Parts: sequence; C-alpha cells; structure tokens
Amino acid sequence: MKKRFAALLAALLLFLLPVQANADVLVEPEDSFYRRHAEDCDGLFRWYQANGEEGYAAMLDQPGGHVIANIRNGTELFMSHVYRGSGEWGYTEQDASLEGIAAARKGGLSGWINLSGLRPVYDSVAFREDHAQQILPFSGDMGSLMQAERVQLWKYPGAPAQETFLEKIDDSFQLAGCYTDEDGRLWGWVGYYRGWRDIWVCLSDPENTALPERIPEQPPLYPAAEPPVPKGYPSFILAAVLVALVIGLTLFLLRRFWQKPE
Amino acid sequence: MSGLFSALSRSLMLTLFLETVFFLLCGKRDKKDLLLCWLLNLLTNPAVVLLYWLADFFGLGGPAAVLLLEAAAIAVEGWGYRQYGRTLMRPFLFSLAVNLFSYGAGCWINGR
Repeated sequence: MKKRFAALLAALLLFLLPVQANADVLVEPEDSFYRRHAEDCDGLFRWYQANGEEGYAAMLDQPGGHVIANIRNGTELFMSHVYRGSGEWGYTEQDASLEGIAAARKGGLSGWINLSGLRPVYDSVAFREDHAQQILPFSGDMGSLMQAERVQLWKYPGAPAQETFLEKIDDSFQLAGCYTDEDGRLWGWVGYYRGWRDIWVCLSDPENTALPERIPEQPPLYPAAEPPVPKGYPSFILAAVLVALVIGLTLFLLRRFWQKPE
Repeated sequence: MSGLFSALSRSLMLTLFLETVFFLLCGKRDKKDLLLCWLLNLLTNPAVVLLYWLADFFGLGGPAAVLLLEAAAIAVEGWGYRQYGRTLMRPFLFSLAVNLFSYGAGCWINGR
C-alpha cells in the first residue's frame, strides 16, 4: 500500500515538470478565454489608440463579456493577439493605474477590446499595405549598411525618428524588400533581426537620424471623454452567498451523518 | 460574471472527477470515505475559486495566492479526513497527494 502511494506521488510530481517547461517556452496570454479559443486567435503585435464613439473604449474580460475597464480615446495600447469570432477582438495587458484607464480593480489588467473601438497607430504593417505595389524584392548591395557604425531604425519610411539603432550589422542581416521614396532615397525592410521585428533602414543614408518626416493623414479620433469606472462584478455577492450556503450545507451533512471513528 | 459561475462549476466538477480517480487508484473502496472526499471538496473548492477571483480582482492574484489557498484547502481537507475518515491512515498526506494530483492534472488539462 505504501509503495503504491509513493509511486503515485512520484508520478504526479514528474507529471508537473513538463508544465513548467512549457510555460518558459510559450509566450501566450495567461487568459482563460484565449486558452479556450486559441485556434481562433492569431498574434497581432500592433499598437492601437482607444477610439470609442462615447469618448472611450471598453475593455471586457472576454469578447462579449463583462466590462472591466474603460479607456480614454487617444490612449495607446499594445495588442498582442487578436480573436476572430464574433467580430475582431484584440487582447491587451495594461497597468490599471495608468493615465486614461478607469478600472474597478487595481494592478495588472488584461482583457479584450473590440477592434472597432480602436484606431491602429500608423506602422510598418499599414505602410506596407499602402505601398504594396512599390515595395520590391531587394537584390542590391548592402555595403553602406555594413560600413555604418550606427544604423538608425525606423518604424516605416518617413516615420518620426526614435532612439532605436543597431551598432553593427552582421551577415545574418537580410532585407525582405525595398522601397524608394519621393526624394529618391532607398529604404530596406527588415522582417526580423536580433529581436527587432518589422523595421526599416535607410540604405541611402543609414546613419542619418534627421530624415524628413512623412506621416500619413489618419482618420480623426472621436473626441475623448473622461471614462467612467465600471461597476465591477455586481453578481459577486450572489456567488459569495451561494458558496457560503454550500459550505454551510456541507458542514451540516458532515456533522449530522459522519461520526468520528472510534 | 458568467465567467465566475462557469469557473466555479467547471473547477468543482473536474476536481470531484480527478479526486475520485485518485481515490480509486490508491486502492480505496470505502463508499463513505469517497462521499467524505466529495463533501470535503464541496467545502473547499468553491471557496478557493471564489477567494482567488477576489484576490485577482484586487490585483493580488498569482502563484503566491494559489499556494496560500491550496495550502488552506489541504489543511481543511486533512482535518476532515482525520476527523471523519474510516480507512485513511495518513489523512494529511492523503490530502496533500490528492490535491497535488488534481491541481497538476487540472493545469495539464487547461494547458498551463
């Protein structure tokens, strides 16, 4: 009997090990809805701005679920995943104490926002959609990049400069396409390099951090309004009462029908 | 909110099933002890799920909260097995093992 018990304990401890290993490898939302609908979800990895008609966008605990936070229009949110089922819903993780977020709870906050209540921040994805015909395969020389001490990185050709650059480029650096702007500058599109995803470099002037900006006009945001704090979970008390009743009934049954063995 | 009721019922059903499996795997056949196992889970499982939701609601969810609540459940169930169990020789060890089993299997089934 003891041996069987020990074997069972050992087996279930071993059984727990792969769970930890998986958690280290997979970067997926720790979200019950995501786990149930992972096959209908894709990676998104884009920034959006809240843009609800009421002046704020609603974050729900699950698509079609309960409002857990309201976010003032204009607040930028990173959407890591998208669920495509009844409409398109982006998954985001936020700090509830940040400016522009009104939540009933404190600390970390994760939830789903209908993409119709958001406006994408213009990025490389949008640029590539707008210039699909002008982005061509790259077959030229990358000598200027290889010689550069510091290669400036851009979100898209004509984007505002950011303090993002590469110190030196190695042989694994590859361009997935190129684009020539109105001033004749040649730009290279990088799908992925050393942790950077979907970025651009200027082949004609790789170190220049002050290239002219060309930010496309975006549809305007709805006017922002102070978001109301959601009421939280009104049925929480009902659940607590039910749980208390179950506990009471169980204790009664235990005391009524179970005797302490002699 | 439907998520909370769904979590409460799913968690209870899954726990009752897994702990019954573990009970039988241990070679136990006493029907009253099996009923006791179900009752003790009825006592602890909904409370643990509800308290975790409450902790998470206030930003206190995480491994520490899980550990604390599971430890409390193991202690309560261990007390119940010691008080009312008929064939359970080591009630607290049994409580620890059965809860480790159901928690581990639950994580595995839920893919985390």
